[in-house]
Amino acid sequence: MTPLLQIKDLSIQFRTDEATVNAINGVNLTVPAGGAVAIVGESGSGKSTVMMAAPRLLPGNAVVHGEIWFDGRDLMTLNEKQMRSLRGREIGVIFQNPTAYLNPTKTIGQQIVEPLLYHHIASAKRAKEEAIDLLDQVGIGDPRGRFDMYPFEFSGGMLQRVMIAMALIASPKLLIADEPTTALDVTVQAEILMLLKKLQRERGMALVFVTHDLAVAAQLCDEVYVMYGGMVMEHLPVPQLVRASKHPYLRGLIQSIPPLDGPVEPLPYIPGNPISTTRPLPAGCIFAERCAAKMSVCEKRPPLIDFDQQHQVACWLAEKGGIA
Amino acid sequence: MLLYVLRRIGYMIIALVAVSFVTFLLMRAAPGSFLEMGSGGVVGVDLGLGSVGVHDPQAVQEFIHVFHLDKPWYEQYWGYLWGFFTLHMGTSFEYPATPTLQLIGQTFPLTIMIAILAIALAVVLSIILGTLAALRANSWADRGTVLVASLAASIPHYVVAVFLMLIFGVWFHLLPVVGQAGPKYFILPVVAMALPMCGSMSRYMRNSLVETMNSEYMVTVYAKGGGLRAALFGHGMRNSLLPFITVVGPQLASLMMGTVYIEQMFGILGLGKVFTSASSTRDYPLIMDSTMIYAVLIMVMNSLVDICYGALDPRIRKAQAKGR
Repeated sequence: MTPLLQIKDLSIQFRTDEATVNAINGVNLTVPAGGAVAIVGESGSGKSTVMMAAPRLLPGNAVVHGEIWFDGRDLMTLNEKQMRSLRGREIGVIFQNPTAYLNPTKTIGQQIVEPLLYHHIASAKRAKEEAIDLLDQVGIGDPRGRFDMYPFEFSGGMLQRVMIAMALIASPKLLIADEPTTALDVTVQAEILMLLKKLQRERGMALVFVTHDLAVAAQLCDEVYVMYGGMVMEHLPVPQLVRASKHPYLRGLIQSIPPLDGPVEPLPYIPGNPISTTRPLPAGCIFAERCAAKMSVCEKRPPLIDFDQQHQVACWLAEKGGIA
Repeated sequence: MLLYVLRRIGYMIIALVAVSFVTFLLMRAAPGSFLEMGSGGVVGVDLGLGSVGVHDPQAVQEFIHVFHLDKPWYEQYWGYLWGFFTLHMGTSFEYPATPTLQLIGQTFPLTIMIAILAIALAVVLSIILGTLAALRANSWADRGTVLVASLAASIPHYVVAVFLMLIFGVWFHLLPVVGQAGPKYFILPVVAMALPMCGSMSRYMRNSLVETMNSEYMVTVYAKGGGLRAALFGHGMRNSLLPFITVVGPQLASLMMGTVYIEQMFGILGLGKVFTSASSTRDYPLIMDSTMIYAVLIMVMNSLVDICYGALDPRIRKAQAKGR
């Protein structure tokens, strides 16, 4: 498949008065058109930062280097006006906490139609009809009545459906979902995931799903990028996730998922804390200090080694077939 | 909603009784009496009305009797209070030929016009200045407005008034400084009242707007393809006006005090002037009535602010509609 989004050698720093945060340290990733890609990592791994860099929605103190190719254009070279014409029309974004990311004083209807109005795609009247139609598709009952209601009159799950409708109304080629279910109940979570999957298939759009939840990523996506300390540790197709993961970090993550059956045993966990992004990075492997399989060669930082087609691992062990 | 209004009116009546009682106490506690200090053309405004001679014992006795000054204090107090609520205020010491109601009717419109124009000018100026400062947050223009704002906030109305008189009246002969012969005469008084209010209000507007523009739902607006204009006028303004309006309320009280000074300085025959001359001549009925009408005015304006707040914030509007 042709790549829709291709990020090359991306590095991002946040400059604050106290320190420089090395949020992203050389990330390469590819999203095929119509594909579903998950970016998985713990808090502070830079997973959201990477994806917010694509529509250039990072705060003003971010220093971004690298290339972000979207549909044949390097987004890094576009001016603000060209960039604005992509946002909302070709790239849609869903955020983690719909209550905070919706304006509390405007009706959801007013907010949903905005992408169409900003890009002069439809008249206000047509936009309203499309919005009502879309609200119906994302599973909001009585969409005509709800159109004129305010965010505080909805539950969190409903608001996330509203957010999805808002991101999709201009039919973008790429949908970035930044932890869209983290703030929701588990049952609501499952409904939203199913809805996202269904809409992605129906519309043939590409989906980037940012999450800390490996299980959710496996359920929804075709391939997974695992991030740690602002770098990609492993990239592999979902079917190989459980059995063929090669990186000690990913292996640790998978093992720390509690099994639903079998005897109750203490869960294995990864010792130590995530690497600090405010201090200079170590010269060697950034996971080395927490790694049980550390070797002398880990003093040197491993590149992403091609293990298989569609499967890269940033670990010296990969050359020997990965962690046992 | 009706319940809300009724409760509101109930509070106003209680507050008014409290204000009138304190005023009555202070007024009676103040040394001196009308017979020594007032009338005889010594002080006060000459509205061409009668006066009482101090040297005629019989006239003094009659004066005391006519104004019920020989009654116990609580009867006097009740007389003032009941007279005010039923609009049978009688006449004052100073102007026995003009009913106080008529006196207030003549002077009150001037005062309220100046007050409303001043607050309107202050609000409009503050919104414009605050918005400009917010858009250029932390630039030299922003810091410049901080300086001007703190200057304006720390200089009282009457000092500003003197400066304005000096600049526009004395040096440039652009505007008249005393009197009320036409619209031109009200420009300086209104500006003198509005400027000091602008100081703190424009800062408040600036902070409120900066906070709104940095809130998470603004990221959504940009993600939908909105530019600065959409963010500012479509979302930011209205939301930053909400906290802004709450600071306009308390300004109203100081605004009413301002009219007292300003009318005195610019020689305008408003309620403030009536009030000052009444208090300096110990004109008991007029002190009571003008204080109470001031109190009513402030309370009504505060209620208007609350209503505006409700109109802008759907959360409050909908809660009120349900009768809470």
